[in-house]
Amino acid sequence: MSIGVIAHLHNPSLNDARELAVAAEAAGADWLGLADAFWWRDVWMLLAEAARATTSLEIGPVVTNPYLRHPFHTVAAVATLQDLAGPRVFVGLAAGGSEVTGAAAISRTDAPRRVRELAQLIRAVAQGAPLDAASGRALEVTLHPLPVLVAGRANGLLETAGQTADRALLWAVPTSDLERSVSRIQEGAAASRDAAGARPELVWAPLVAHDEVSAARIRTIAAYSVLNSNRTLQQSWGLAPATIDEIRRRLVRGGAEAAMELVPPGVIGDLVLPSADPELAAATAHSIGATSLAVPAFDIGSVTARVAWARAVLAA
Amino acid sequence: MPVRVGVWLFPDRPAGEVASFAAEVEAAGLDELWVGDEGPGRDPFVVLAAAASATTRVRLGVGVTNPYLRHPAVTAAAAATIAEIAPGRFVLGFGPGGDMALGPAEVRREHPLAAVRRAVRIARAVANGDATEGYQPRPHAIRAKDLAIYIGARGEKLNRLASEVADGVFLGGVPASMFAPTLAWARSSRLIEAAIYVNAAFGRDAADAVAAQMIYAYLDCPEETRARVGLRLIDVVAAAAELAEGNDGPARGLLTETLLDDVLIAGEPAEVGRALASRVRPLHATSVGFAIIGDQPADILDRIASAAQSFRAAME
Repeated sequence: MSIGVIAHLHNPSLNDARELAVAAEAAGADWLGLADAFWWRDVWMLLAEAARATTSLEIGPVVTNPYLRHPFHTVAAVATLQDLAGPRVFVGLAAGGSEVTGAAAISRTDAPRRVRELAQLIRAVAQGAPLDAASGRALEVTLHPLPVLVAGRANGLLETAGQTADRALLWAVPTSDLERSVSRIQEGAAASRDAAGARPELVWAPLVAHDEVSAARIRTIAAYSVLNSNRTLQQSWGLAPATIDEIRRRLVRGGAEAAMELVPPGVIGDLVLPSADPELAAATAHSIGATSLAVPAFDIGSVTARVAWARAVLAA
Repeated sequence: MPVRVGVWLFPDRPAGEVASFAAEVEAAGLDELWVGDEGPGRDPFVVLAAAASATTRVRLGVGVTNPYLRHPAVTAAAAATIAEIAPGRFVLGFGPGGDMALGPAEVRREHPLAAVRRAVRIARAVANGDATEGYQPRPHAIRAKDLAIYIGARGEKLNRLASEVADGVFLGGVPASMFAPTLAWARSSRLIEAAIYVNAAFGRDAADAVAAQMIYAYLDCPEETRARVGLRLIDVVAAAAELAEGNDGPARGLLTETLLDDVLIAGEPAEVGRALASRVRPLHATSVGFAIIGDQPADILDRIASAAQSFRAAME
């Protein structure tokens, strides 16, 4: 059982990372995840700053991807962060955002395999294996074992989370899609893990409109969720492929406001819990078997209240 | 303006130690610290960010990274993050990538001229907040208008490219007999900055310990350089392969005293400083420095500083 904070500040500065980490640790959060976004400051440096400002908080990218850096470089960055943060480092992996396909023009169709291979590489190197078995070339710095978190919405990535992750993150998953998502994780775990019933720790990160700030930011998230949801779900929201393409086009051009105009109200209703009542969230968490929660930090000042809310949910 | 003097190293010590070393470099009166990105070791950007936080004056650079193992926009965002910590003090160096960097990752150096040109273009766009191929800056994107971009190269085409598009060149491991023609290429279009870094060993034992490794200077160099000194690629490749297996005999056999002297300055600090001055005096370099291969630079900083002092005295 743990409580995480996922930063949702736009291009956070080192100062933001430091203050956010201090606030999360003071609020009693167990971990802090910072985004590895194509357009923003380097996540590994932000994490290093967060580590310097704290003593017990776990820190890691939520999430990085296997496309924009060679896997060896991601492994090296993790090891370098361990230099500064010791055993408090975890790594969050996923397919990468729309910038991978849009700005970097890289296909993400093999994301489940790429994420799985990166997770396996991290584990193997942490156990002392070389980076490349054929050449025997080793990482020139010690990598210590660390938790691997995998986030996703599509079947393949959810199954990968079940197969390889210590933690599976259900971030902004629509309520109507939670059951399917969890079953995919369980199927992945059942197919690859030795112990019966073994599966990753399920971390649920629901969206809750606590106030006007979070309500506004959730609407932006909804636009991205539309893109990252499967076709069945998109159809259930009444979204045609042409509309999806237009939302993607507007987001890639940086117009989140313009993209949101195309997102139907039903999407918001499916993504956001109907109230901030901890009992309600606890019931959903219980129904899907989530033992841990993560809360988004849209601003540093609200971290204490969000972590307290998560604690209330887990206690309910 | 006096020539800046610095030191170059591999990030083979923990990031915190390199940061402390950077502070000592600054206190010792040196002007620059460059960190290589030549293999699956620590992330040089995270290391340099720590060094940036620990210093106020010394110029920092990555010398050099390649355009293949990270997306150039990701590299640029990392550089911009450091430039924000150390305004006007960071240099991003791109090169084509040597065997040490690309070999372990099994990445081929395809179209190096085009790859470096594209990397510089994207990095410049990220730094300035401009749109370019595949890069459309978001409103919150990181920028760094004072980011200096160098190209590190030994051959004619890349040095001529540097003269077209870069703020400077980083010449590392270039035989002294090639300084003049290489700089002539690098300044064929525009008079750009030039950083010339030589391999240095302080004392007879240190020189002997690293002598065989100088074979790499003749491995990752243009064919024209080998032809000029009478070496065949097939022999150099074989000697480097043997060296990698622990047999330094073939490398020592190939490296005559003349060849060694061309790529390694050895002696007591005062001799090293004077020798460097004699080699670069007519070249109008903007900075020079010592690449330390064998010893831990932190263990011999007093000798490096002494050599720098001799260099400056000889240049007056």
